[in-house]
Amino acid sequence: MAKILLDVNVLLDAFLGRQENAKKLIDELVKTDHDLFITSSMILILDYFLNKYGADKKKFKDIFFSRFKIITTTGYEGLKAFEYKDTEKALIFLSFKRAVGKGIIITSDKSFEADGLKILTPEEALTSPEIFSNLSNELLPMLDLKKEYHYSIEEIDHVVLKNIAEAKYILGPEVKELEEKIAQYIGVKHCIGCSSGTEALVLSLRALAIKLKKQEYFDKADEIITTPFTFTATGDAILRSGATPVFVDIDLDTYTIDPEKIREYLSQNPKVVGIIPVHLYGHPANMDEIMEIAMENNLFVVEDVAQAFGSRWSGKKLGSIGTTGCFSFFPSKNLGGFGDGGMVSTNDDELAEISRMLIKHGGKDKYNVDHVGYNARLDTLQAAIILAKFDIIDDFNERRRKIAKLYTEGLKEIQWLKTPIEKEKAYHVFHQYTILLKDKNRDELQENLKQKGISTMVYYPYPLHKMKVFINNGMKVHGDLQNSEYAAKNVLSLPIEPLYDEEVIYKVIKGLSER
Amino acid sequence: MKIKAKRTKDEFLIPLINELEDKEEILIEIKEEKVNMEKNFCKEISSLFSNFPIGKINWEKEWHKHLEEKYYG
Repeated sequence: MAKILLDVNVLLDAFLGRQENAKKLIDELVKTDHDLFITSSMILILDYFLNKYGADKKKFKDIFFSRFKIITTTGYEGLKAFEYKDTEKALIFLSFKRAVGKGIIITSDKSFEADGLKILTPEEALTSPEIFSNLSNELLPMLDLKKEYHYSIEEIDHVVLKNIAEAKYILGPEVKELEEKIAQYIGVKHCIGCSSGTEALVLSLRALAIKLKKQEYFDKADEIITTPFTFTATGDAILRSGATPVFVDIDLDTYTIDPEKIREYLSQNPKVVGIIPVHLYGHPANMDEIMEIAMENNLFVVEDVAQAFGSRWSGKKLGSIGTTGCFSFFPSKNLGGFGDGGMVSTNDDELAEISRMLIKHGGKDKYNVDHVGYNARLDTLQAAIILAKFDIIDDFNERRRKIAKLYTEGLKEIQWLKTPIEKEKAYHVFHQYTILLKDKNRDELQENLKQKGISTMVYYPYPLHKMKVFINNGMKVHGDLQNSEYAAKNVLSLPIEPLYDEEVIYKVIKGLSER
Repeated sequence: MKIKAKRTKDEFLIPLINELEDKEEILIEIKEEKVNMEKNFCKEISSLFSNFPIGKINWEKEWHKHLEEKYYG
């Protein structure tokens, strides 16, 4: 997946019919999954010739920019460009290099300086193995965040520069806009932006302690049930809220908490105050059962939706079913920012009000506070970036589902692995596509796939009840947690990048099938 | 379900069912005929121009000439 910049001379040669090689090259390039660019400094030149030869500019914009992306040229690059003999070309390669790191410039002008970038003529490009060979030496990553940035580069560069210029860095209008948009999207009354998904969990639990117990933290005697097969933040948030985490086992079909195990534990333990189901890998936990249990036992439910933005259970968006929902905008998440970020969703006015206080040091007035608070606001800049990406989240989730379908179809004949399922009431957003190995050495398989240029990851190699932090801080466990331990030893996540095309996914399927 | 349909100039698909007569709404699944823009990318863009240069042109020289005319008269 190369990053390629096409010089104006090549584009004009192709479009105005003067050079067959240029035309052939572009027709071939647009069929690949390479990222194709021009720079904003090239727009004026392109526009001059569009006008001169009477092009329909609106249609040109629709067609051309459906495949080509525009890299912003900055003032700094303008200053640097003066150090070069040809400022116009320097502007192009300086901004291209900054935006992509390593890339190829295709130009008819052989005098193009390129400061370490690869320069090819259209003729050379047509026979370049780097561009047209299927045998890429690069390791296929689990996720390609650079590719995702390039997909939305114009919007993101714009909102970042605008946001910097507006200087409303703390709780600027974009934070409120994002909160309102997501509240509407999920179908809840309130969303509160915060500094991370982990903080969203802590805020939810702290707000619940303040509301329900009229005290800052839960007591150690208060128990909160969750799954041990999750990221450490879920259990850690329980400890930070003052309560005791109780780990109950998962259902191996969905890797989410098993409601029957919750019932079993509750039948003998009256000190439970709440449940944190984790919608792991993007698949919902069984929310019908969990909400029924919560109602019967007067428990709160804090949904850990960190991996499941846009996912649904019985048509309801996750984060709208429990007492609160906790979202993460960590960069690798389905809706990810360019740093840490999170959000709490709730229909409860009081919990929303307390959470808003807690993110700002614990008070409505930060100079006169009511609670032990945090400095845990969502940055305006992150909110602006997430807003730009929010418009494409449904499309990206659908792309993930399509990739998952290709995997499931392609891997169904392999006896030594189990592909993920989607329960009837679920809309799975496949934050991860995770297979379960049966009697297979996972380390060897990972190494073998790596040799074939395929990355894989294990989420998560250690269940929480095996970690010192929980052992040393008074956790409780229910039963032998054998499913969680089995999953921790045998799960393997495959690359799932919404912008990967079918060929990439077939490469992974082939890599697994050949073993 | 498969039905016969007619595509209008505006790309709308009109179901060819006599008894329908706009009286009821039906849900139909139509397999999208993927327009392969990528295959004809240059052709599609070329078709947007109303005239083409005659003879060989050096784009850079032409552009610089335009800049000179515009800013130096």
